[in-house]
Amino acid sequence: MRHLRSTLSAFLFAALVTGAAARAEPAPPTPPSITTFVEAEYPAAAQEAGREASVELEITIGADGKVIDARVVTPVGDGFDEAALAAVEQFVFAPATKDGQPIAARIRYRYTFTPKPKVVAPAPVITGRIEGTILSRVDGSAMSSVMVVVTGADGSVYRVTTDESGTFSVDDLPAGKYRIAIDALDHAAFAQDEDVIAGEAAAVTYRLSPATTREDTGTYGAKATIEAPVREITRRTLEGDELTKIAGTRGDPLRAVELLPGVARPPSGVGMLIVRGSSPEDSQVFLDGAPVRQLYHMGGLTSFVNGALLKKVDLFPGNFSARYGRKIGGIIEAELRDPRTDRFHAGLDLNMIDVSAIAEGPLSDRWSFALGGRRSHIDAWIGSLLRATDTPVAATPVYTDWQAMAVYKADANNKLRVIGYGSTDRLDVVIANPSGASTNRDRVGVDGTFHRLRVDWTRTWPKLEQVISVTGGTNRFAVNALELVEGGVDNLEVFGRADWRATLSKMVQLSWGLDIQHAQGDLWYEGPHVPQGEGNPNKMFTRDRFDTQVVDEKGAVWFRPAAYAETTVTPVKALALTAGVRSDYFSDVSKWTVDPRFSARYVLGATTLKGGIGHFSQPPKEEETMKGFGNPNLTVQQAMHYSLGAEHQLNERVSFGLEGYYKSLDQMIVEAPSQMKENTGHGRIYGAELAARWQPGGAFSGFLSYTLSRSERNDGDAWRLFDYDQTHILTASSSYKLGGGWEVGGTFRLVSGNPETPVTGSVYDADIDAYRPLYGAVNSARSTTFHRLDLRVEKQFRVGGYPVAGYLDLQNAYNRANRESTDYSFDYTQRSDIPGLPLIPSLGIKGEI
Amino acid sequence: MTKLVPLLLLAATACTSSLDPATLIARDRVLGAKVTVDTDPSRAWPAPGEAATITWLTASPGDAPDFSWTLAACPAATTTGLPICDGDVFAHSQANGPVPALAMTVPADMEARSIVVLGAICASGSPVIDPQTFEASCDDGSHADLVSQHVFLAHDGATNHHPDLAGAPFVLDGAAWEAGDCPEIAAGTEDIVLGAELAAAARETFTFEGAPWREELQLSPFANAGELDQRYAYIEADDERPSSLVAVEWTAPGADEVPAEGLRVTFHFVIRDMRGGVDAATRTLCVR
Repeated sequence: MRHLRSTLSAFLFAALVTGAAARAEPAPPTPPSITTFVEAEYPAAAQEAGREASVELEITIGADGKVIDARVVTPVGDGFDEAALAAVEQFVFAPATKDGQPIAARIRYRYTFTPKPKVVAPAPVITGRIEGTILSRVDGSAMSSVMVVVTGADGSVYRVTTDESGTFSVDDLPAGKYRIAIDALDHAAFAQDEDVIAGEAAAVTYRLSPATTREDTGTYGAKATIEAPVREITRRTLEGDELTKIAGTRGDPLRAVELLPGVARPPSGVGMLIVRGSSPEDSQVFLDGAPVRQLYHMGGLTSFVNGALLKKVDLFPGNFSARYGRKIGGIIEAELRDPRTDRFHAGLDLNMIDVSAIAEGPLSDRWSFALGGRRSHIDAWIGSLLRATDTPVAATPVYTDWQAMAVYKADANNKLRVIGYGSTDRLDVVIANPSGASTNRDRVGVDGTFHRLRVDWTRTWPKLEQVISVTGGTNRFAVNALELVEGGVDNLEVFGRADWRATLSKMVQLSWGLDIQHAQGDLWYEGPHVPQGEGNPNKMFTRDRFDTQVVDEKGAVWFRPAAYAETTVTPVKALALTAGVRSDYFSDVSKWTVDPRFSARYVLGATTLKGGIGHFSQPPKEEETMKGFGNPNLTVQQAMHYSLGAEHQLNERVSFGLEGYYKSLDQMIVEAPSQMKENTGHGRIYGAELAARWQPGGAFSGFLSYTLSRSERNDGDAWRLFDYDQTHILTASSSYKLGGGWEVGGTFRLVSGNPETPVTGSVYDADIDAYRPLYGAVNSARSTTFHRLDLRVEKQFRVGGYPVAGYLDLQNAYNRANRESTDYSFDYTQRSDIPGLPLIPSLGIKGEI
Repeated sequence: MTKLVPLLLLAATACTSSLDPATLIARDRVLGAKVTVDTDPSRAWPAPGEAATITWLTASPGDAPDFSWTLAACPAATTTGLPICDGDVFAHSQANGPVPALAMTVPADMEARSIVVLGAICASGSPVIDPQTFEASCDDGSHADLVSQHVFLAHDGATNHHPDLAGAPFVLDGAAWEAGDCPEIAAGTEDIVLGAELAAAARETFTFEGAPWREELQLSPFANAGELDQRYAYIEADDERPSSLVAVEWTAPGADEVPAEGLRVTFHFVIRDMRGGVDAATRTLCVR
């Protein structure tokens, strides 16, 4: 009841604050917008010579929307200045407003003269068309008079300007890939590749972010660097600007993935992704197509990559493309964006947990760069906190990560990127001895480091795109705990990928490629037998000097090449059929696998029906086949995915989705009574996911997701629940721009408790002076329901002309004591709940120059 | 490998809860078991054909009760962990008295590396074990301790002797602490160092799987009042000192917990060589 009252109080407080703020704030000011556009007369000589120009003007607009005065700010000559001036004096605007009342305003406007488009490429047999709309990311309004430059893979260039409704079109385009470049005044430069299919119109919608802060409208420039999703495409994509504002994620896009449909709640303080009832080890995160070994820093507070450098994050909860393999769960693909090239940018984000900085900008016309770095400083204050709360544990978690990128754009068809990234984690936990005499038996030390260097080259032809990448680096991980366990991994890993995508005809697209994963290094372990983790309630190790596993493997090699191909056939416009196949080889188990996959989409107006079926294979973890530690005779784990669903686009910003799925798991690795790992386990997972999204673009954005699922395992004798089976997962998250630079957001989660195995008794083991628990049926009970509210408030303002934002991120705002696990007394006759993280405020400030 | 991390952190932080500490004697409890070969009580490993007695060490917050027990011995399937028989029960005891014990003669043809003794002990009532669930209770509804002890057998001349804790000098904040003494301590005194000085000779050397080893000693301290800072203290196997202090720190109960006439606190110390050798000792302090 106390928590219920706290919950209600928190809600009422939030409602009152929000309501009060909404009443107290006047209507936000709005800038003038063009209602009547007059095209300038192109200077004849310049037209003849094919010259183009942009004239920047200053226009004073009256409260009635008419142009009072106009002058040229940057003359360009050749008759362009006069022509532009004559045209803009005839413009009519919707006037600027303040407190809802029209007012006079002065703006800058760039008028761009573009010669008539020339078709450089040979006339195609069948052509396509791009038609699109350009909207403001701030308020969703149409952006008129914006120049759009369309560049074909063969170098042909087309220029058009948006009309009053923000729309544009380019006709008679030969099929192939095109780069769309947009340079709108006061907005960040924007570019995006699009595919044009012969005989079809590619409809696109772009939302442009402001390039500079305008205090009166409350937009914030620093986050405008994260490119928006560029098309209304039908997959579960979250883009950076949205993700960095989700309450409870501390601005971390990869943490926000945990809130999507089909993703279960991980235990607090433990970063892991549980996708559609799969073990965290069965899902893989990719960064630009290369697998990432460690997604989160220790403690799960934040992911290893700075969210400000991410372009988007895709979640494929099942039935994923043949491009991805070696996993039977789900796939998360994070994509780095290119550095901004309009000018030099530097940003700093300082909060109570860590400090991060990025810098980026152009190096020349063709080169650009980005640098990012972060270091935690939680170690500076957590010791004092633990001492103040009489917690007999001292902890010093420290993490750092870095990213560096150089991009070379040789021409419209060639791009080279060199990317480096890495992460280090160090954690020391000492069970404090008041006399300071703690020994190694009271200490847990964990160190983890990885560094990567990646080179990729993207080459495009009219109907073909090729991406070749090589990613290599080192992994080091070491643990030394309670003088009970000592182990580690030290290896070198290389991942190469070559991807090709081709448009063979109007109806057929084909993609194919190769990827190779190669690792070589050392693995050592000394400690007790490592029991099966999932499905084993007894996760405590017991020291036994005479029953210790010792592994010291030097120069072990894991070589895993794969080839894949996928084709999409569109027999009729509404129907797309995709068939793919992937073949992998795993040197560690000397096994070839072939995984066929198929999916179909059928478009019925605003509704899309979709379904898929696929086979997936996953090798054992490296150490599981190691002699002396695992079982060299293990083989590949396998899964079948089935899914069927529908998506409905209610309007441009609001969409719904419903999908049902079933997964069967076979040859799963479990521990036999002999303590030997074997491929005798099975699994079955089924459920449904409902999603509703309100895309960013206006004052309000958010999403609602609900997942109903059941995940079961059979270790050889009976079916039981998976450790993280969560029957109901409800997540509601939203963000609202109040005006005046204020933005508030909240995320609420209501999730079924995790399964638990009851302790039915204990045995006193006189050998070691400890009680050993006796368990009932595995996962036959369930923990209490989890619920939590996270809040985020951000205020944007300017300091010395530079955009700055202060923010407060409250995790677990009403301090709900969610039960994460159970602590037992020494003899298991008493128990108490171990709660998850309490209310954690993270106050921060970030700014950009 | 990384999956170990959350488990280890859990293990490390699980010590922070406010449940009854293992070192507090708040109920009648079993603290260990000591195997003595009848013909040589210093030996911890009986040989096949020898008679031995397993005595259960107990402690109580007040006067020692009359325990009742049911105990059985069988060849062990493993040398550690939960008790699993690998053969028939060859010795059994169901009785009551101040000291739970099982007397047995190891079958002369026993080939197992060890035997396991398991059973249940009640401080009141008689123990009842459910053979299906392996849960134990006392027939008067009180708590029963289900207990187990592995006993190594002395095959091929191998042997192990008990460490000598009862004969070791005990120290209390650096001063001698004799059995029968009751040094006075002020209520609320913190970080009092108490332990025993053990000579290097107390730790035997032996060969295991062809490699030379030396024993490590684990001290388990218990008290019926106050707060001990550690559940275990160790003399490590690689400790080369001729004599080592194995000690813990104790904080006396506060003045509000001490009656006007003072409080006599009993300490139980049990030492193990982690391969079957066990010894125990008690000391007392008077808190004013």
